[in-house]
Amino acid sequence: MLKIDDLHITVQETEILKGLSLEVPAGEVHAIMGPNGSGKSTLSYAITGREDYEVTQGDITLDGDSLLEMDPNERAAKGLFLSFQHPLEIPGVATMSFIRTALNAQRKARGENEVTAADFLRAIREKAKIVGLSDEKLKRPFNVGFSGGEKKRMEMLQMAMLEPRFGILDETDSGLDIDALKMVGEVVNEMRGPDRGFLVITHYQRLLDYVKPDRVHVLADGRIVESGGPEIARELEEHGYDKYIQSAA
Amino acid sequence: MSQTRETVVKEGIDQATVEMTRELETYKHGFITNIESEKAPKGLTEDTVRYISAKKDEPQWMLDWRLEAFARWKEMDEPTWAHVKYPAINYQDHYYYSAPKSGSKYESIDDVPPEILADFEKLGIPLREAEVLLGVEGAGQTPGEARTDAGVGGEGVARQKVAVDAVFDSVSVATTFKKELEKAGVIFMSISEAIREHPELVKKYIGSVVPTSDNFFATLNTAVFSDGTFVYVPPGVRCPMELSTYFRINEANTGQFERTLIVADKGSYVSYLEGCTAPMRDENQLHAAVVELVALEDAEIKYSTVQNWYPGDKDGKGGIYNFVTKRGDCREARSKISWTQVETGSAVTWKYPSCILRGDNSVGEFYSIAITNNHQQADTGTKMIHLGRNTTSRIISKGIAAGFSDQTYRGLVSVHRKAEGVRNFTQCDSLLIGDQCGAHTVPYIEAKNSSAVLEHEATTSRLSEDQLFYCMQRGLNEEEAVSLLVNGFCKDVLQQLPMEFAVEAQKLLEVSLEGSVG
Amino acid sequence: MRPNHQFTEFEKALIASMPAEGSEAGAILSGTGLPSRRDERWKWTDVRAALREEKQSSVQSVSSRAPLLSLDQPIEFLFANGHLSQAPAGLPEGLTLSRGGDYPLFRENLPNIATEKAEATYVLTVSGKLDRPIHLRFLSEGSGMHHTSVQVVLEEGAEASIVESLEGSDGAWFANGVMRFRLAKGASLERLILQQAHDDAVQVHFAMANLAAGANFTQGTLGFGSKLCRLETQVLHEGEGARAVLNGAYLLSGRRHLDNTTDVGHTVPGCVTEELYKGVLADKGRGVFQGRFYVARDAQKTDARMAHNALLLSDEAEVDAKPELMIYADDVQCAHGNTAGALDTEALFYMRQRGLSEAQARAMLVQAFVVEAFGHISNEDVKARLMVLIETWLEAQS
Ligand SMILES: Nc1ncnc2c1ncn2[C@@H]1O[C@H](COP(=O)(O)OP(=O)(O)OP(=O)(O)O)[C@@H](O)[C@H]1O
Ligand SMILES: [Mg+2]
Repeated sequence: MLKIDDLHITVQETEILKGLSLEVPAGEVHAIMGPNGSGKSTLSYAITGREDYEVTQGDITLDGDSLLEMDPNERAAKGLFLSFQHPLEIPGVATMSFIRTALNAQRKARGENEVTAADFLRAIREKAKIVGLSDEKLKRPFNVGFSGGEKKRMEMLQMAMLEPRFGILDETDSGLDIDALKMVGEVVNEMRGPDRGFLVITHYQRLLDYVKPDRVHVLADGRIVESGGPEIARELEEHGYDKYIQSAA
Repeated sequence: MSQTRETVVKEGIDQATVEMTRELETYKHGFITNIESEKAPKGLTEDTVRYISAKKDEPQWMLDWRLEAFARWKEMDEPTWAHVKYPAINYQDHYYYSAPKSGSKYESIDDVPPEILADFEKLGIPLREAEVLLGVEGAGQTPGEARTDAGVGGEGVARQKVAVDAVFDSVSVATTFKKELEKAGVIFMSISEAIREHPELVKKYIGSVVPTSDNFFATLNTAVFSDGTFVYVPPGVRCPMELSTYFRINEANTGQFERTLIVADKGSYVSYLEGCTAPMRDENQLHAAVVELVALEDAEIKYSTVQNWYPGDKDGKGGIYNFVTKRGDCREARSKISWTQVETGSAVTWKYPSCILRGDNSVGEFYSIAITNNHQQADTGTKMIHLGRNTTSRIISKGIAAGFSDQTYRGLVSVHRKAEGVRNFTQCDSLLIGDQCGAHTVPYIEAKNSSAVLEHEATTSRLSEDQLFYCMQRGLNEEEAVSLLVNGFCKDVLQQLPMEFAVEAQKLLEVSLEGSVG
Repeated sequence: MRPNHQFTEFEKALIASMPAEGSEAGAILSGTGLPSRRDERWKWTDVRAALREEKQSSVQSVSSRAPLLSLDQPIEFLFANGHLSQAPAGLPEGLTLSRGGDYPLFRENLPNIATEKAEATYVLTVSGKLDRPIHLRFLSEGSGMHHTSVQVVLEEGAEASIVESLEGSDGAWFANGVMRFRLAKGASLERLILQQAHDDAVQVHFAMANLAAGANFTQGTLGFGSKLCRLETQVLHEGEGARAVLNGAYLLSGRRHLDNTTDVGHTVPGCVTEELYKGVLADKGRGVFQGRFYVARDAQKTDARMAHNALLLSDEAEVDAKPELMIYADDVQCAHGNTAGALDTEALFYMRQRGLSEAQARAMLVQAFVVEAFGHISNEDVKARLMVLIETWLEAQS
């Protein structure tokens, strides 16, 4: 499904990813762990096509199609969703109308019908309940004045609404309370299926208790330095990154 | 400036404030030195210009330049846009040249008349130690860097070594630490000397930042400037000590028109301090200086001023008219010019130290404290002209108006079409003490490039009653409390001053605000 | 005094058209001419340079057109090239129309000229609460010049809302209007100025509002610029506890120019002014914002805040701002802020990651930026219609 091949990314003249390769087959959930500054968010931005993240070498494909020439919104319409490590506030933009515009833009790009206002409203109410956001929160300008945890819930709400085929969760668990952590697990597990893939970036084992990964990769100094089963996460929890940092250096 | 040093300065200020308020005094620099002097005839004609030029043994090109300026000046009108009022100046009623009679320049410090030396001693900015001044050939030849800040705020305050050029009325009377600076390749001398000894450098840079016909007062200065300071820091040299010029107007009815030119060649650094005083006189005296700074690639100039010209008495009689043109040119990439000023003196101030940010990635800064009391008027601010890419500027202005004074911040931030990636941040805060004064903010913002990010904030308020009460409850009297709070208000700017000046400046704040409460 | 040979053809003709005797505006005009960039208050809006060629008086009729903003049951007055060509047959209770009114000599001379040259100085007087909005439609057409002068008087405790729409068709016309608002004690007026985009027209629309104690003056502006357009409002707080809101938005494309100038004087204690302007500049649009708060010695406890934020969407656009404070009283809260910059690229990326096209994301962000300036408008219907005008502008950009 998602395939990354020898990816080199340069940000403001500094090479951050230095030949990263990774494959997430359809139906699987992979986790990425790695020390601060190792390039995890850089990878998620590169996949979703953020400006200034220059691909100097390598390729990223989704279902065999290269993403590199696509705009961020084309990638989104193709089914890529990123839950941002630091979601933004967008003052003046109404939450509901933003999500609805996004959903319809994607559907339109895929040649699907727009959702009616009534259907949309029904769906968002239902999903807001699952992620734990009140109606009042939906009426506010997008994320304005939200707590860190509420912003993460809003990311999950959008993922649930947009139903992407491939979801990237960049530290969605940090800043969440125990209930919210469970909620993230529910949302992901609910969506998990043979046609969907997920890449879960995290620093902690506890999210992986709820979202059981098929594989865990360790990212250090711009490369995947180890891949294996869920046991790797537990090992890291105990011993930290020392051995990888040395091996990378 | 290192982190530790900034902290030290801050602490030094807060501690010392309370003590120093106890010795509040009026304008203490208002003494007159009795020395015979030689003056040009009163008034201003082409002959005056020729007289000055001849006195200084100037080359023909210099005289020609002056005459051209004089011809233009006669055609110009005095500017009226500033928010200041003063009676019309009779330019024929001033002396344009005055020099101590014993000679225009001293070979060694022994030749300096003892009255002048005594004068310096009484001053304190920053010539408080005769030892320092006498250090021309004396002990203090170790690099200034070696001094530590360890004792700040305590007893034996360790001082950074400062090389001083003293300008007395119209001429430079003494330059210290010349030898040591020469070793580093730094040229630091009076501009008259520089015109004779380094004509190629002076010719190349003088008038290149402030052109002859820039404005009425700058043009007048070009015609009649009598002396000033020249600094040249060669490529890659970090000037080993702070350079300082001390300006003093002494003669009655004498205009002072000094000219300062500082050139920092590629990759060099220099920090320059300027202090000014004048005696108390009933008549207004005219001061119209021009300062030009040129920073080449990767060079940095830090220019600090403590302006304490005589402000006039409490009824507004006398005082200096201070019409100054100061401009820095960040001529090449990654250069930086930083202006810091503490303006407490003068009856009328008209002054806008500016930066032309020509080189890509160059940086301009303006940090200002202006205090006006009694009947003082100040119209001051800065211009940041962004021409190069990724140029940044920062303006922090703190204005305090007390008594019957009137104060205006006037500033321009301009971003040209081709200047991509410009950043500016401006903060202008005014504080009013009493209800007979005025504080005004007049910023001009011109943006012609969409990538610019410009932010401007301004506030006007008065001292918080709550804070005043709190301080007084802790035992400070009202004046002490005001002084403490004003220091807090100015903290962001005071921190930018070299330590020597910071203490001096803070002392001045107190003196300037005397009588503003109660 | 400018020597005669330096006057433009336009100025010469205008001077000649002023009454020979007793014309104060004419006397000033023949001394100084039209305002130009040499005048501090006009340095970015050079009327003189924009109007060089001689202009005839406009013909007093224009073709009819649908209003720029349709209001619910408006009391509509239509000025065709300066001529009051349509007025409601009967005015509702509490509203009268007359001619006359007293006019001071303004510091700016263009409104003085408008007062002298307008076909009449109309006075609308409101008493009590007027439920329907007054709509003054200033329609312009052709290539001549015309002047209007309208005074709106709100008696004690009166309430009204007024919309002035500056509309018409393209042409090199010059429209010069003056409005005077006098709010008696406790009166309340909601004013909206709508200026349609024109490429060749020159417009100056000046207003002076005098507020008595406890009066409430709320103003919103939406402008799209013309060859040269200046919308100026001066407010004078003359009674304690008066409150003024001056908000506005401008969206400029092509080579259009719009100058929003405001000058608010606080002469008595305890008055409030809130001001917020939002500008969006595309293509070679040029926005000018000049705002001034003057707080006199006696105006203690003044609370005055001003903000202007400009969004530059193009590298050829320009914005010039001068937010000014002149403060003579110490116990006051006065502040201004000014920002200029481009759209937030991080927000753009975020929105595009969710699937919005670049144009959609931009439009949404620009709208969000602008809408703040209409937060004060109580009539949701009017607000929605303004948003439609903004959307239309945005659509034309992409
Ligand atoms: N826009 C940028 N400009 C400059 N450097 C950047 C930029 N974005 C990322 N970097 C640098 O790239 C490196 C990788 O950053 P990244 O955010 O991808 O790390 P991370 O693995 O997500 O870290 P964390 O666990 O703290 O979230 C860091 O050294 C960071 O400073
Ligand atoms: Mg990260």
